Amino acid sequence: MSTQVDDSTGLVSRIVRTVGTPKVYLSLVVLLLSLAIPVTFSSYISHIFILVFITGIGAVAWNIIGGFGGQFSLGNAVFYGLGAYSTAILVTDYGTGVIVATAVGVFLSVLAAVIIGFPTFKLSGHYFALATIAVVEGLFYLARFFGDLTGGSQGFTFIAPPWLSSLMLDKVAAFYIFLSFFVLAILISVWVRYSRLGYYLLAIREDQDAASALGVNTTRYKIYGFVLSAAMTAFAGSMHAAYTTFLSPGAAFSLDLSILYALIALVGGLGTIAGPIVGTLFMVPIQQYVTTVLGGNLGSLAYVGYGLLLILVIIYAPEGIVNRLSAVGGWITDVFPEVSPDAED
Amino acid sequence: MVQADLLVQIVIFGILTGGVYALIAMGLSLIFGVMDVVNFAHGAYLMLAMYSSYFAWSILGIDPFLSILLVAPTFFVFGVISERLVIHPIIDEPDFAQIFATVGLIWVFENTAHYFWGADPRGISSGYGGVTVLGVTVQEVRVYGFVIAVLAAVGMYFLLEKTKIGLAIRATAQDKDAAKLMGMSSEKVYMITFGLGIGLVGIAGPVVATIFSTTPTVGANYVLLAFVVVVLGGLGNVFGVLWAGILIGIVDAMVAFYYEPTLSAPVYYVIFIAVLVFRAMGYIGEDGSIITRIKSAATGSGEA
Repeated sequence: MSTQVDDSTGLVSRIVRTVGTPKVYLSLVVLLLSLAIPVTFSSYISHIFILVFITGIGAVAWNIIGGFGGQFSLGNAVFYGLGAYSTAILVTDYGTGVIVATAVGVFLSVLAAVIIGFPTFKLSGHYFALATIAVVEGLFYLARFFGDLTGGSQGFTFIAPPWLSSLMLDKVAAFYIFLSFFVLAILISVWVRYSRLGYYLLAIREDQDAASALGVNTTRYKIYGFVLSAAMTAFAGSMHAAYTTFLSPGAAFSLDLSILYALIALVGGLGTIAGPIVGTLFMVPIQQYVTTVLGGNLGSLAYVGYGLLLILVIIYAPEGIVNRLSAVGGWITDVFPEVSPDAED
Repeated sequence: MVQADLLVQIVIFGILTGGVYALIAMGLSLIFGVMDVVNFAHGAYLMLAMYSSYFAWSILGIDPFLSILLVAPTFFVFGVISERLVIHPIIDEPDFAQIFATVGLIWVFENTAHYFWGADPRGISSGYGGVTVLGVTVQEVRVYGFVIAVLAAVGMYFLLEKTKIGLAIRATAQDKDAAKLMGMSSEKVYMITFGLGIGLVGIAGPVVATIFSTTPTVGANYVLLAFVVVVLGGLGNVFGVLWAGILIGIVDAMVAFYYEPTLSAPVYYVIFIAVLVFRAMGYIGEDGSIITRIKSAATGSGEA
């Protein structure tokens, strides 16, 4: 598979080769079938799917830097929070247009990614993860401190323009909108995977020193990956703010969310294109069920099981669903042509 | 306008609290330094230790400080068991495996606590009052907590420097493979190290429970703080951790008093990242803490 990819010449032939497989037609069929979901099932099911799509964008984005690049960021919630708060504050308090506000949120996140990335990408392994956690936690406290702007721990209610809120209340429309954003995120991820950036990131993940010795400017490409990841996550944050209309420092700059992004990619299959997609479809509904349906004491018992499951997965199946269930996984990885993370290429 | 007596008050308060921070961080530092394992569940272990001493007090009527004699050995065994079941299988796996395995432990511990004991905060009213230190009145429990932290540091120092198992731990921390060749079982050393680290949490838990109230999620407040202290103080360096804890305690108290309590956390996170980055760039010795670095700079014996 690797040689097939390596000898790719032009963008066009690469796209043709990728899209040309029968499995891709099949996945397009799945996509078409999913279009029927909101008109077939209840609006609650659509709601769950919308959450899947929003979280999925973040997970796909995390996978670019964390999965492809092997940089285990636990700080991606920072970008989510920046996107969500900038959009909500600009639109509600300053009457800025939604698109401009979202763009500002994305821009701020890109800026933050550069500022965070430059010093922290010098750190290895554990220390990088710890530093990014400190950034999330720090911003959580700052969001509480600047209460005049963010509403503090009381939270912030996003007053969207009427056209947007009616759009968001219409679950069918919202479903299609968020589905298309999710598909766009996946396409970006596919593009990254087979671009120069993607190959450099994989090289950095496998052996940073070797990549550097071969002339890859490792810091620069890690920053590129991080910036892209940040921009997509900020967009997800903006969209989530528009959808749920309520923000709080604890939910926006949330370490749990950072961990969730990484966890989704891990459960699905770290560093694969399909991993975060499969992981989101698997994890988000379970989490929704546990928190909203079970809740309370039964919910905490379910989370105990969730934690045990996580430990067992880490010990016995750290390669994730996509790589683990080789029959299904092989099919999925064929759909999204993929070099397995431990392949020596 | 900074008033001198007020400043003394804040610094003493900060030192005492900082000692407790150091006590929390000591076990983390030991495990991180020797095993290179990032135990994110450190705070969750602490939370369980806090509940243990709370129940020892509320059900059995045992004084929280005396309950250490019960809680610490129990947590040593608890640590050994968790090392066998969770840490041992993933010790040679990539970094992310440790992060997630220990995050899994957090969920298990926090939600177990939530299931059995609910979310209501529980405080120990131990009957201890105030005491005057250097003309400043502080809570007695904070003073005892500080003394226990110092004793724990001294105890750990002697254990690591003067005993056979301490030698084995230090040797394994320095070079796992060489220690193995010398006939030391790294498996056994890891088991004991993790046990000791969690045993230290068993000492810290009762102390923290006398000062702050206990909830299922209280550990999250301390885990990152403990990492800050560990990174400042140096891995596996007990006195370094003590100094760093005190430093953070003072910073914490100053920012909270002169500025705003919400901001003390961001301030020490900034210190944390700065230290990490400087260390990564080689400005601080490989194994030396920032404190030893400052000391060596002061005596003029510092290396480049």
